[in-house]
Amino acid sequence: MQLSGGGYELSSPLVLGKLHTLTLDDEVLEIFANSLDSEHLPSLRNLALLRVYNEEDANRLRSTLFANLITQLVSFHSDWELARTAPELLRSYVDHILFYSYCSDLSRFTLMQLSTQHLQLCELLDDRGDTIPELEKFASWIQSGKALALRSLYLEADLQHPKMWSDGINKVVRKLQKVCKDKRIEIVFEKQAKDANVDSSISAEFCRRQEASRNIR
Amino acid sequence: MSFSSLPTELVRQIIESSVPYTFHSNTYDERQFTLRSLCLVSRLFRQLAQPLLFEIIWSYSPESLDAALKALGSEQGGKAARHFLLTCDENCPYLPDRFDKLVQHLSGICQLVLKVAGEDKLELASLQSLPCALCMQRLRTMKLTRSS
Repeated sequence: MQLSGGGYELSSPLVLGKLHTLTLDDEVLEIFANSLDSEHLPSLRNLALLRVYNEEDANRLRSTLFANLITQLVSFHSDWELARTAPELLRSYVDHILFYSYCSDLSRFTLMQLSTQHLQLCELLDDRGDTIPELEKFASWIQSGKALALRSLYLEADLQHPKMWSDGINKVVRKLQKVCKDKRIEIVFEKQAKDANVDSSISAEFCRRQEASRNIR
Repeated sequence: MSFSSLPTELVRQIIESSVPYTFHSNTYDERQFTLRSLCLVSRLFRQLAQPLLFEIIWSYSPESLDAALKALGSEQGGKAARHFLLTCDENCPYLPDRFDKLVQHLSGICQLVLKVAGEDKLELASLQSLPCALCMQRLRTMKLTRSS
């Protein structure tokens, strides 16, 4: 049998015995799903699935041994919407999962009753400042006390440098910092991927913390 | 004390700390430029900087893929390469033909990033089907994507 999709072919299962960290997008998941288990990836510790969130993706994960694989992971990076479409796969592991959200999705994110503990906000900044109203609403949502489970928020490191941004962006970032401090949500500034094709989509800091916390346990 | 009288190990540390240790698209071009410049300083600098130059290879065009194949096929390049990144933003008819050849040189790779586009397909099973690829025992990090 030969599987193909997303520009790749897979004529036999891929066993990658020492692979520690894997990132796949929705199109590659189509052919890789059958290798997404502990047998083919026995050493896997960190997994990122990009743009994997719709019903079709969720069904694909349900049809594999992904539920077993997730138990061996130290960290899992996922689109927040996967928690909506496949909650049963993720529910027991939310403390190991760094969900990511794009700014344009934030208003929908806040409407969901998700027990997200760790959230990464991606591509927050654009030259036109279009993201400011979304960020304002997100900060107000945190302020309102509805982000009950949220423990950490991962933001682009450059946001720490006010001189790089407009007054509007600086103001909303300051507000976000203040409300997070009030609600005891830690903000982690970290350099994020600039070129999503090649830069790592996985938060090294989140992985480090998860490894450390696993070692303590 | 002149620079040339410093112990080799210290010069190595200076060179290594002058460029980023890991890959980031923001710093790659500058990293390679710095290392190429350092290679031209002296034989000692070349000896120390060249392995770092080959350590991370990012191919994003037919020309750069041919250069990568040449580098990976050389004795020093083959030994030094640790991170290989290949991105293709449109139809790349040259890619499937070269992929098997490329895989033969990736046995020492610890990070592999592949992003393809268009209709041409890469046979992933070749990552482990070729005899020399079976020793891809160092592969720790892999990223496979299509859309950006």
